[in-house]
Amino acid sequence: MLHDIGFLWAVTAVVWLVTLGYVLSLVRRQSRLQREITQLEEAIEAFARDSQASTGLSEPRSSL
Amino acid sequence: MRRWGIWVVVLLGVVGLANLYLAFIWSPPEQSMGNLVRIMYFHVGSAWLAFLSFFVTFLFGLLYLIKRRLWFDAVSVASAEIGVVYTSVTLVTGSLWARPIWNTWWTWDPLLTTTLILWFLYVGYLLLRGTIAGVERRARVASIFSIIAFIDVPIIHMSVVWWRSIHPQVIDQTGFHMPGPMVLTLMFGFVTFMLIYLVFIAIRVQLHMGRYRLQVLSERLSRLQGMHLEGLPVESIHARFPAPKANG
Repeated sequence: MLHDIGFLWAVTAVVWLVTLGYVLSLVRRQSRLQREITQLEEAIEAFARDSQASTGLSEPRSSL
Repeated sequence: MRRWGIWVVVLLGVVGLANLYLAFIWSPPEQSMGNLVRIMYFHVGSAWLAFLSFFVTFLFGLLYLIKRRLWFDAVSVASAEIGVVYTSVTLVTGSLWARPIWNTWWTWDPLLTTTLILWFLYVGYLLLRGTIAGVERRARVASIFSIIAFIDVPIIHMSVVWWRSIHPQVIDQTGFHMPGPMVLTLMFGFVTFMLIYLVFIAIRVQLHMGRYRLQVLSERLSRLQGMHLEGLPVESIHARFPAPKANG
């Protein structure tokens, strides 16, 4: 049975490497999502600012 | 929050190392299998974690259908994903155990076959979610699917009773058929996997709720753009979004 001990190491490696891989996958997805949320929030803010500015510019035009 | 996270990682590290110590050094080898019996602590632990995950998926799927809160759906999908990961681990570790003991990587034993079906069912659940548009419709369909798919879990449990199986049954209604140190190591392994599950589910649910937030923000931006375009004079819209020039 001694030569079969490699299977025990393989099982241990599978369990803990898969667990580690899943942790890394969660962390990667979380950071990507956070980046996307920040980008969207910035885009909304920029759009709101831009919108205010363009409304100010368009008022004299529309009054023509 | 970050401090809390560090403490959780430290706790998991200590519990994980204690689990390895119990499984590799403290628990005794078995008479016929020798040290290969130690595979049980990882194989059974991951199988229990997978079943627990699918039970949570079923339970929160049911709760979603009753209460219609998206948080329940987030827990349901998070748990299903963890369940698929640990069902995969169970199948692979089972195969690695079967090779030296049964002299085969795989056999169409009822317990193994129904577990493989379980894996396909929940991979199907995750794929199905990706094909349905609309948050609420997706949650509703996925909840119904998760309730139906869970029927396979009691079938797996009963497969060794209903059909002839070569899979060992060391735990049944009469208790654990193994020495005390082995039972303790197995239970400690279950606690370790349970802690891992709790940490994973917390992170995964947060991720899923973050996706809802992303969708809400995205819709808000689209609405703002729409409102903005409606309020602008036509020449301003043309200036912002010029028509593509025709080639030639």
